[in-house]
Amino acid sequence: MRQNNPQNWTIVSFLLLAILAIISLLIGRANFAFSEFLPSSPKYEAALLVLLEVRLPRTLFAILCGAALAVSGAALQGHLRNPLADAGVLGISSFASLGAIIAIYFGLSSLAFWVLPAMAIVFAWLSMALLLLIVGRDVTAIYFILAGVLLSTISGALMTLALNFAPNPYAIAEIINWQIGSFSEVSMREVALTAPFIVIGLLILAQNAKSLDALSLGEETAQSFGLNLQKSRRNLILGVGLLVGAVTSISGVIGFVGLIVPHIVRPWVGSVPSRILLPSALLGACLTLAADILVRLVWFGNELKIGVIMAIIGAPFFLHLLVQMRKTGGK
Amino acid sequence: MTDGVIASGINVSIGGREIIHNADIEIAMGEITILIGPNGAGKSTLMKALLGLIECGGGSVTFDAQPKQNITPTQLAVQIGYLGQNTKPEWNMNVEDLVSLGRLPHQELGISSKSQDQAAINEALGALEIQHLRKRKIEAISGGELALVLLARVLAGKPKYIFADEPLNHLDVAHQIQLIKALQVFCKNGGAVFAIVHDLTMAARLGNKFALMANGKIVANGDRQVLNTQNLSEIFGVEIATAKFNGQTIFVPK
Repeated sequence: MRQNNPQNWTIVSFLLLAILAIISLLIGRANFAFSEFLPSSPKYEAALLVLLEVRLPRTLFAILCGAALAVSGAALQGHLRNPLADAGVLGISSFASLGAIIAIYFGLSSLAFWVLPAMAIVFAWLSMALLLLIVGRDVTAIYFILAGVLLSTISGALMTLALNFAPNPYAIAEIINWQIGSFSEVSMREVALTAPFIVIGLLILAQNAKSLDALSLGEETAQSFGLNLQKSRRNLILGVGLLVGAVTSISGVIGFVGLIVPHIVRPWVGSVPSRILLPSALLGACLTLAADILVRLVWFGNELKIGVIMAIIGAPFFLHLLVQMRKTGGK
Repeated sequence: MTDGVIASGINVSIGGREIIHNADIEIAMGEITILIGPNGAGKSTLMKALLGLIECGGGSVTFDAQPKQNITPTQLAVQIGYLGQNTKPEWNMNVEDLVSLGRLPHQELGISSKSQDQAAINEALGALEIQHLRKRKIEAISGGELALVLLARVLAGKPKYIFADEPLNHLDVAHQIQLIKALQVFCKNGGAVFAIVHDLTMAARLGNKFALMANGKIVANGDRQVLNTQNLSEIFGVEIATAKFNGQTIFVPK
């Protein structure tokens, strides 16, 4: 594929994002014609209410979520030098939603507004520390995937256990909402709650970007560049935990965004790890926003979950990557 | 003489097992020092210990008469280029992007402008005569070309010292000679090379100082004379004969 100028690519994906954002604001369950958003229309007030209270927060959250998950995936793949790394595959998202479940169903989240995202973030940190502990210095793909399977299984079991013990008798029925994410209950409050964590997480990973480049020739060469491996790993855990924790505490697990997006970006902007972060953020936002628009267009009497759409797109992509790795000898 | 690397009394233990015992080594400017020894003798470990990639259990290393502990990792990074064993880039980037990684320590210290970076990259590609590969992807070039590209990455950092762990491995003769020449030019221009080489004939051709290592100890060092039948037979445990051919020394195990 032709390697385009990264700047051009960034501009194109930014424009695409703007177009998708406008579509996202105009499309939804409540069927308003474009003319009804004009002040002269009799339905103007109702339309404006839906636009500002329902569609705007949902659009903003989809953008934040896609950027956060895609940048997490790009940073994880870069740091671990593993093309299959992703918060969902590695069980980090799953742990974050375990944290959110404990916060909600045991009443902790009513103590203060920030407890919900904070619990999810702490659990995301915990899972990453566990992951790196299990895998150690061995960065072969298979160990990461097995460690991810282990973490996902553990968190799935603990989620069920937590919901069994939850004071609310209907809690167990909600487990599916946490394992397959959705944006349907997002309001401006959730956007405001998670945005600061996501912005800080993005800044930490952006600041850590050059260490990903150094690591592309392996840990020892990176150290010969003067890289402080411990510090870089700490920043990775901090940043990815903030992003994945904040997003998951509101939407539940949305897989595959972080896995897919960096692979689409790489052939276009070159495979230098630091260079794919910004384009990944933009394309990740486009992908989740497009998927969420699709969710609203397809109606089965019940709203489709965005987590389902991402899994339907993502699982074949994951398979494609595995086949690809086998062809090239893999690692 | 103050420039050069001097290591003395290096000890390294990993997991309670002593890998390096009381090793002394000197890397002088303008010279190619070659470390020779059987598999498992501790050669790679010694090289990593000098660079601080592995912690030393004892001994001292000085770069240009400065104790290594007084030099920050990034300051050291602009002085050295480490060509690790079996290094392979994890991502299918193009050759120029890979070579530009050699500029990371300078960028980190903020002591290099964009045009200086580009000039260093061009110079490194030119030194190895691989300008034509510039826009090619790593996965689309041969193993021999990749070895040259990885050395260009090291040269782009404009190091004073090159540490190369088995740089000639898996290369055909033409690429071996090309690599040897590039390292010799680097030394002629005032740099110093410390390399681990297994092929004795190539080692003798490449180096002008030699250190022999066995069981974690340096057993002999000096100029070409240390590569004698007796020393080599002793450290490898097989009899090795030498002969002169076209003015070069060749080594043949019996």
